[in-house]
Amino acid sequence: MARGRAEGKKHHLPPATLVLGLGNPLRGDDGVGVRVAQALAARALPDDVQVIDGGTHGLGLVALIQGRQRLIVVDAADVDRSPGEFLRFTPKEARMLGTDQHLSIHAAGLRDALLLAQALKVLPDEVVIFGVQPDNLEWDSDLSPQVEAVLPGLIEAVLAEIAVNPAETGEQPATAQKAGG
Amino acid sequence: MTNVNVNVHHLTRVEGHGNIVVDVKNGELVKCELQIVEAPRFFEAMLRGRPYDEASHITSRICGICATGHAMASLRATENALGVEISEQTKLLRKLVFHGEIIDSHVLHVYMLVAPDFFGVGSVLPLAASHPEVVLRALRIKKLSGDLCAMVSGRHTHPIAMTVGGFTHLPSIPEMLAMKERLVAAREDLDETIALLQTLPWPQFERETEYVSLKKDDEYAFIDGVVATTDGFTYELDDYRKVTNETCKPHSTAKHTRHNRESYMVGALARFNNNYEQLHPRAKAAAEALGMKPPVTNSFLNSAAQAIEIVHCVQDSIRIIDELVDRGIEEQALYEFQGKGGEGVGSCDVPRGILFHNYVIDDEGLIQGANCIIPTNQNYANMEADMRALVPQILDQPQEKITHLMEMLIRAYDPCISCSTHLLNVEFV
Repeated sequence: MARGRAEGKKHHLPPATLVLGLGNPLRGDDGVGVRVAQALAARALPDDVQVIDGGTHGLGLVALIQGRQRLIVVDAADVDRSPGEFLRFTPKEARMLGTDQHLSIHAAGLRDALLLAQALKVLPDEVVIFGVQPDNLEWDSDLSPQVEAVLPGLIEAVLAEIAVNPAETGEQPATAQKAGG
Repeated sequence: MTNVNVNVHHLTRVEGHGNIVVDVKNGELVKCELQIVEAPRFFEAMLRGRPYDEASHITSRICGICATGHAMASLRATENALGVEISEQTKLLRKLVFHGEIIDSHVLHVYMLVAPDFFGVGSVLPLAASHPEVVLRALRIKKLSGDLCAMVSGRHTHPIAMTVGGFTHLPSIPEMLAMKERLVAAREDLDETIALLQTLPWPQFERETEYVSLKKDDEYAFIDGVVATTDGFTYELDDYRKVTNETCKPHSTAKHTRHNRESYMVGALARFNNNYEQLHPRAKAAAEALGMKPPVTNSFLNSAAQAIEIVHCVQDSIRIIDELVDRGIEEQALYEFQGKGGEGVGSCDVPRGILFHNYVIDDEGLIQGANCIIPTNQNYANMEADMRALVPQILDQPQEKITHLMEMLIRAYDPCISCSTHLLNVEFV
């Protein structure tokens, strides 16, 4: 196992799996995806896995998604659960709300990026989304206690999705947390 | 007599939430407003009490599109406050990553937000279905600029390697040479971009205003310099408030600015009008192909000026890489705090126009005061002045067409009303 690939490295073919953490870490729990991306980037991951902190890059994400075989997204999402619970789902299992008429660069973010990737036929075959129910989306650089508490379990779930044994990534496996859903 | 009532709630394909309200009674313009309904943001308050070296990382999250621009203005404000000198290598690397962001932001705006208007579709999604080659070209340019940013600043979106006084990570010579090859190869896509814009039916609309941008003696200014206006005024950066003169308006949660006239314009068109002579010859050729030579006073052409800047930034990036490869890249010592605070102003001409950050840092290295003036705020008054001038010229058109032209006008400014949360709203089926 090598260290996770640095984002700046030259590569003609991007690593097959992209793990994308999305959100604005200045908007409370909206930053949960970025926190997960930061935690994963510090671990040893297989060479064909790349982790990117996608921030609030919106439609620009399509350029990062293109050419991958698998996309795993971690993002705050209103999944109708208690704050801190998360769900794993695929785009086929969920309707991401919004209309094309409200398309902007990042007002709706992930949904638009996925739709555009689909329209351009560059959407990876496998797309998995981890949606975390937020508690606080106000201007705040901290996660709420509920979302902070679910981080270890969420990271473990994402590692399991990548099919990586957390014990092999150079950090102690996180204490198991009850995941929602 | 004509009655027109335009009421666009939540203008689409701009950043954040704005409403257009136009009311014409008996052929007379009664009301013409761009209402900003975003909650004001509190970055200044978030910075207070934070260590100086966190400011650029916090402010880079203000915007997912202008992350590098905010980080850069923040670093320059901090460096000016603390009296930090930066090396020639750092200056070159910063220019390079800044070019990456200009290309990145402009290509998104021109292709994904503006182009659908000209193809008669509601968004980039149907455009991707009907003209995939156009959108895929945009993605190729976007990928290139994203990789350029990541090569220099360590990340595709929010720069991590840029720090007070320098860089914590440096690109290697082979990485830069590979990037240069890709930049050279991008010329075909750039030529196609200009060729596409040549075919678009740009709305005819002229209204001269005051154009405000950074200006430098030796280059097309994006980072540092003086503030210059086409009305002949020049200010040192420390005097930025003499230009911005912020005021509050009842219909807008964002402040308005004015200088020598009722409004002024910032952004690609302002830079083009102020600094045309310093554009790369290929960018000047692109301008000629688009029939543009300063002064250009049609605000719709801000998007065309962005395309010209894409050409300039690609060419100038090639030049900068050549210079860096010639000089060689060396590890340089990073700045260490000297126990003495101060006040400083940093300014960059980011994709949407001139941006100011102003910090007061105490002797502990903590930020005690901060002021950020973003480009879109500076454009609001000018957008409204354009709306007031445009409406009487198009009153004979159907209401739907009037509404569409007003939306296009505002979109041409590439306004970033708010970089708000983008919470995904999910309903399970």
